[in-house]
Amino acid sequence: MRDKQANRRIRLLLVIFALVFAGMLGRAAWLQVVQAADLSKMAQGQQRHTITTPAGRGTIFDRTGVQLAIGEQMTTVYADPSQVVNAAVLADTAHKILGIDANALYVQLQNKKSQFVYVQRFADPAKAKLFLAKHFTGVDSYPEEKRIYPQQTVAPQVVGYAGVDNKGLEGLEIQYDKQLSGRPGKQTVITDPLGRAIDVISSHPGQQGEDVFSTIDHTMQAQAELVLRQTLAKWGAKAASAVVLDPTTGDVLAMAQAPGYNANNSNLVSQALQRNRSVTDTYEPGSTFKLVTITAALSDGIVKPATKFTLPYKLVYGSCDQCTVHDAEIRPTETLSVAQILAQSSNVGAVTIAKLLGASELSKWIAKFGFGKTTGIDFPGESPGFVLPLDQWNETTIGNNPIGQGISVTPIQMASVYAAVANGGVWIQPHLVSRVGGRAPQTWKRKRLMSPAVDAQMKTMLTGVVTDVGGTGTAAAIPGYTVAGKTGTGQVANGAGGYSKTDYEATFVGMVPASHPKLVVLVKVDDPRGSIYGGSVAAPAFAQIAKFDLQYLEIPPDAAHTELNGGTSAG
Amino acid sequence: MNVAVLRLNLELDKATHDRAQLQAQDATLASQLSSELASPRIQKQAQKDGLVQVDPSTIGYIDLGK
Repeated sequence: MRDKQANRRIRLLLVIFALVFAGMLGRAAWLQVVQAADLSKMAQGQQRHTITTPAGRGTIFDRTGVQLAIGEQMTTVYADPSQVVNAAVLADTAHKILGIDANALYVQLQNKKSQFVYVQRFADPAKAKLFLAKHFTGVDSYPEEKRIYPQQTVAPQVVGYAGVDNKGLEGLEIQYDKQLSGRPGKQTVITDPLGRAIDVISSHPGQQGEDVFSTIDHTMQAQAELVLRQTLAKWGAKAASAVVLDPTTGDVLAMAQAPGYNANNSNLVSQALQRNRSVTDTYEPGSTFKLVTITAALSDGIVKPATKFTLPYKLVYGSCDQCTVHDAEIRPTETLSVAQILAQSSNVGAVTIAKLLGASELSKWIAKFGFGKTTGIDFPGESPGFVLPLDQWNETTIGNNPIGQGISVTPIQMASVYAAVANGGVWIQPHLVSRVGGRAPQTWKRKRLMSPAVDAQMKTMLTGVVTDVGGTGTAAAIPGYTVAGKTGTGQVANGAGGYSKTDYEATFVGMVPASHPKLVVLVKVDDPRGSIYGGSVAAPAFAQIAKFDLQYLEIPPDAAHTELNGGTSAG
Repeated sequence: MNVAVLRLNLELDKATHDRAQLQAQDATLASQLSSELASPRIQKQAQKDGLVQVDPSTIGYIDLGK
């Protein structure tokens, strides 16, 4: 009886074990087979982490290898308010060590619903280390690259700037953003339950952004900016810009403007101040445009430098009310050669030659010189300027286009055209970057604008602007060097279909040494007061910039001394 | 074997970290150097020290080709 009862209990136990075992087997099968994929994914998600390591942004160098823009590693300190124990002490310590506003941080730390608050972004690494050594609960940090412009006020409009996320927002920073940015890296790590990395499964190193080598020379750039600031102060002008080109290569050696600002504060200055006016802004070139008219007439064989014209002070060139043009200064009827027309910047002479040339030919030459089209300089937002198409020309166009009115150009367009004259008649696409990484970013376009013979004639005539009796550009003379160039005084549109009576653009663009030009310098001064002429406002600034650059580049003088025969200020 | 690979990975990670730190220090030093070389700073200092810019016409050049 007792044995029977014992056997029954054993069988019951066996059944229970069998049921438990079957249950466990079923559960195991459920986990291993049915839910295996989901659970495996969940485990991987908890243990494996893919970390993106940002690629360092490339450096922008000037032509001498000095850094214009560089990424410096800073420390970003943050806090999780939900974990912070004593917000007041934390905020006070952050104020003492990092120098931040304790009250503002304290208010942010009081918001316990938030899990992320910047204590300080881009903190000084040494100070951040000191702060982190206090071991506040809920406070941590990560390294972050900040774009620094160590030359500060030098070339801010050209270099541009990158935002807090290290993306280019202006200037060369945005133009070459793709190359500067590089490729971020990826690392897959296994972490323990506390989140500490215990193994690295895979690692794809990031690719550092490429370095960009600009054609700008920081010393020449700084000098040009200094001269522009002095010119601005002397003439009470609104703004001024200058372009220095190497005519043999198309390299932009300096592209300066005033007023300027510290590139490290780019986010604080107005958009207007950040514009690189030499590329993005247009102006009426005035008499500097006579180069096009005269070159066209010489190339078409209509005139020679010695061809003479009898010119009144005032010329009526059509039947409309506005169809009159006069020279800058009242004078009796004179006989002037083409060279004298250019040297004395005679409007009447230039229009007379243009009428011989004809509207169609003049329009063709304006297009050939590249006006109305962008130069293709490697800078964002280039303006093509404005040129009236031939089919829209009216009776006044032949009277104003030849003297640089009713047409708008950018300083870089005008400087590159004068650089073509300096370069034997061959135009080279101007550019701001010579190398990206180890290679040229692109092949720069070249085109011949005039024959070598016409080019030589133009150079001689442009030298006369600076040296001849009555020349408008005598203030551009540099002792020991021959200078060729042209003055310009452009009118400013008043927004009501006419011209301002008070505002002008004074320009001088020239080349040195004129016998074998190594530099082309354009200076433009907006709205000068006291004098409005390119010859008296812009030409001295040209001389100051060119004088420094010639010495800096150790270009030997090509003349014992430049004889000045006196001149006028018009043009 | 696994432990050895784990150790190597950790060493690699540390070396990468050290390299990044050295690169960061290098960038900071380069930035400081560039700031020191900035023309406005040098010109200001030179003016303070009583130096003046040379007139280019007073400079003589020797043509070794002649």
